[in-house]
Amino acid sequence: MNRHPQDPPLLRAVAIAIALGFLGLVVIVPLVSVFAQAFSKGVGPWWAAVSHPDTLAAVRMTLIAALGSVPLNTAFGISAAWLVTKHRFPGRRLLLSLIDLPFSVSPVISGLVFILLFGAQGWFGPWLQEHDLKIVFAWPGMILATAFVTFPFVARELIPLMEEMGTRDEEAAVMLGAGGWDTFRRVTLPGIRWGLLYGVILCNARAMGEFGAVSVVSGHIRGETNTLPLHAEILYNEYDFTGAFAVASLLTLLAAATVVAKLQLERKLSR
Amino acid sequence: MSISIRDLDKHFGSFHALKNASLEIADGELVALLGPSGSGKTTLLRSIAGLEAPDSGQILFRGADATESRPQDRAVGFVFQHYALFRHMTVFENIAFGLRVRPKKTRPPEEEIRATVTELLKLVQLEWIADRHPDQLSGGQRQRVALARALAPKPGFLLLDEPFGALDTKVRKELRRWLRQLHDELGMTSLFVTHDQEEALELADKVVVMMDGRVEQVGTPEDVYDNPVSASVYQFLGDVNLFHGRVAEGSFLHQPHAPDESTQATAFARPHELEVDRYLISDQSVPAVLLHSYALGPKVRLELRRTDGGGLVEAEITRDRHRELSLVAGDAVWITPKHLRIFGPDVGGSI
Repeated sequence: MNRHPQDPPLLRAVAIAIALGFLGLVVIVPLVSVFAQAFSKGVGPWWAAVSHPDTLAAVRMTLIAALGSVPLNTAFGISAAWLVTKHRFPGRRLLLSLIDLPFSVSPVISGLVFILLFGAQGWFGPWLQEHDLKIVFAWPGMILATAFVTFPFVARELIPLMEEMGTRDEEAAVMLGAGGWDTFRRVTLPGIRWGLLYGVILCNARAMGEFGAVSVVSGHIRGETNTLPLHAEILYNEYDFTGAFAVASLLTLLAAATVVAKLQLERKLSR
Repeated sequence: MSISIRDLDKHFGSFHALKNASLEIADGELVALLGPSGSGKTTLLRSIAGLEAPDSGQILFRGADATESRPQDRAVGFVFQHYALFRHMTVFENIAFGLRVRPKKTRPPEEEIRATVTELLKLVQLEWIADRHPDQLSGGQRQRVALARALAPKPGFLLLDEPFGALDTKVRKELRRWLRQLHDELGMTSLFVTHDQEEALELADKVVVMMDGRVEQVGTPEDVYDNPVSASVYQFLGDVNLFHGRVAEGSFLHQPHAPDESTQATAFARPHELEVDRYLISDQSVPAVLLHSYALGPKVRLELRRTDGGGLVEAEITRDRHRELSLVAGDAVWITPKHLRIFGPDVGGSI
């Protein structure tokens, strides 16, 4: 650690106070208040809200959306990062900026795009209806919308990492007789594993917390297409504060689990 | 295994990296690809390995065309400049890699892999570090692990890219000698890239000098050093002094300010080929003044300025001779080339 010995103690104390104060105000207080509100009427009502069938359905839909989109984005992220860092081809820069697109587009717009494509009045609407396929207002739409919003996370995490690794290790593997799959599995993947895991965790956290895009495609069908964030909003709008905060506390626990996983990873990384 | 390279041509964008490079390497030879950076030597090496695809030309292994074959199928061992050891694997696993990735049918059983790796570790004298990771090794150890790893699949020949570039002088000398020994023991055909003329001249059976994407000269180290084909090869192979003048009736006339372009020639002499005297000793002598001198082991280097306007000259004399002359900075002396090599319009040779 590099610390300026000349820094006056007062300056340091003030800087620390500002940092902690801001953190407390913006992060800690809201977090505590979520749990305070959730348990304001005791454990019984909290448990009732959490174990309500609609809540359980929301948990299920959240998990479906996350489990559907995270593997998709992991596969996409690895192949996109591999493509743009290990190869030079026309359109490479375009691909790089397309990867960032979901970051710059409002999630609500992303959701609307899927309605325009697959909704009843959308481009593929009539064809889907003919074949009795449901995408919008059903789980496939939820996965699609979540995947769209979260797809930069893995790729963005891997691109700088793989850029730095270069192609030397892969070339070495190839010269030793390894085929494409062996080279990827035994050399490329171990080199990026921590970055990949980190990207997957971030992607997962965002997938579970996503609101805007899934709000548009879900149709808010209670007990069916609601995710935890959507369910919390509905309960809140119905003045069921205990229920809303109980659901919010579930989400917060998921987020906390993510932070713990990330800390564990960072400890391993800096080893 | 013999290699023939025929008219290899390669561009990187607008950069012409290889210009019709041709080369023959016989079975069992240790060949140095020598040249300044950007001369195309690494591109040639990578083309032989299959890591670069030439625009045109042919590469033959033992007479069979290998230009289009995949690098995996070429049975070439490659040692990278910075070794490219797999950081997440132990030394043992690094060396075993080339055996483990074989297709099931040709993959040796586990005991055989262990035996081969142990044998290779013994060969590179590193049995005691089998379980370490690459970042726990010194540069010289990494270099030897990289070599063992390249040898594990029993390649037909070995390519080394600047194998000693990242090592300090003492380790470099040791490893050089050791590599030469290893090459002879294993009866391999090896090709290494270097920009260090001393390394090439000391280690190789055959030196290939590359300049500007072309193969300029191929020969034994003595041959290349004593009879360079061009001024640029001569200049690349060591420190040189330039003398401007013209050739008349078989002898060289010093003319520091050449009046006539057409008859002008440039003569070269290496620092150790210059004689330094207090007095004029022949018609080849030029006057100079001593600027600075310093001892270089058993030799003394002199930096001189010609007083006839011919610029700076470097000479190398023995310590005894230096003592005999008892020179100090500012002394006036005469420099006489014992040997001059002349490259010029329509002339070439030595006087």
